[in-house]
Amino acid sequence: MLSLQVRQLTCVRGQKILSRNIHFELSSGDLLLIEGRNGSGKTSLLRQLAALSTTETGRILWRGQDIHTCYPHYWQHLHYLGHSHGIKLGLTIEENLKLMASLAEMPISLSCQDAILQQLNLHTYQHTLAADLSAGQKRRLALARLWLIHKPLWILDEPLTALDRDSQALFLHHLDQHLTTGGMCILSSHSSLPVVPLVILRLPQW
Amino acid sequence: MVTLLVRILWSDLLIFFRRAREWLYPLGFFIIVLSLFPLAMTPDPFLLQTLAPGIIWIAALLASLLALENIFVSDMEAGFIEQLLLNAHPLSLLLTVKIIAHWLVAEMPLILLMPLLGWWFHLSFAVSGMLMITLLLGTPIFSLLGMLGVALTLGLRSQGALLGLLILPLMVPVLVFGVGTVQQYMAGLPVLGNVAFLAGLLLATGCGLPLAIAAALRISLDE
Repeated sequence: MLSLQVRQLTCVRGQKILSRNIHFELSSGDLLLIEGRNGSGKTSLLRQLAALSTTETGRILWRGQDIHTCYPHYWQHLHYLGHSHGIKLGLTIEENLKLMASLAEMPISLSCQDAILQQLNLHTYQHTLAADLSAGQKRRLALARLWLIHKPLWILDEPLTALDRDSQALFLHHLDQHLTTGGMCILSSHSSLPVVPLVILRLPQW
Repeated sequence: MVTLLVRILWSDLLIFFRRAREWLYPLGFFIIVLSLFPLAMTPDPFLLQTLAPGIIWIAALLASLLALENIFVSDMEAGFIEQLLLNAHPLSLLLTVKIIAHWLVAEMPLILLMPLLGWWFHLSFAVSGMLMITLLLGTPIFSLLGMLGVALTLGLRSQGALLGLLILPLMVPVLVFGVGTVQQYMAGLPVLGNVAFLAGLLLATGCGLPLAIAAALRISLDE
């Protein structure tokens, strides 16, 4: 059973404290939606949860273990997708996926890759440099990583930006599948999600 | 693990070669700077011979400084660097591979050019060879120190000038030993000790600096 516990976390950006005493607990199949206005600290909180920024007060426990004591183990189970796409613009789609697969040390089967790229309408661009893709296509490539390399915890910052209606629906379908197979997801979004989030965390406005 | 390192090396080399400016600009800069000296000073073969080691080393140092700014560009532009950080593998190891890729692209061509430059500066074949050996040992240290500077100043404005101020003083010992070795060799003195010292310096920085670079990178990206 997977679990992520966050205790007494303080969200800080620069020198400014944005919110105190953030407290929640997620287990398999849970979805946490982080809501808040611009500047309320959603991205800062997500970066803290991904252990990209240091946590000064509070604790984050992954499977009951403080993540400070087991970063590599935690990151092995984590997909983080921030505002930027996390891809290399100088590589083609295929080379990007290969690089991501070797970073995660999880080989991607060719049939899976073809199927997902087909769903994302990227199959004709396999040998196109990521730099030549549109913003929406880059986003879709970033999402392909989540679906091709299976990891239990997703931390997504505004995953729906730049996506068209079909891709949004596809994303929600895959999110649903991820949750029903025992994964968990923390995401921030401004557009309303048709799936009912099990937990909503509202950050206070500053 | 090995496949990952090879994959990272291959990806970086691929990107460098797709963007010819990454290796062509430093190389062109190096050649132009070197051609300025005979023009500005004197074409006297004897004087050029004595000055050549110093001039070539300084030009190589400046060219490597010029190439440094590109070292993380391909990782920063679309946030790939975060994926490198959020990884179960030791970051210092991944960065070492990136340094090797950068060195192969930005510094290796300068060293391969050395026989031609030796002829240009009226150096004997053996002296050109000694220049190649010392540069082969010295330029990776430039890359390592430079990457540390880049990791520390990542995301800052006017990074280039600060980078120079920060790392040029650190590169001085390498320069002193590199040039000194070649000059001693030209004077017919034994140089094995100097070469061994440079090699030792390379080993020490190669073992220690990737750890520091990894730590600096994490701090720089911790917003």
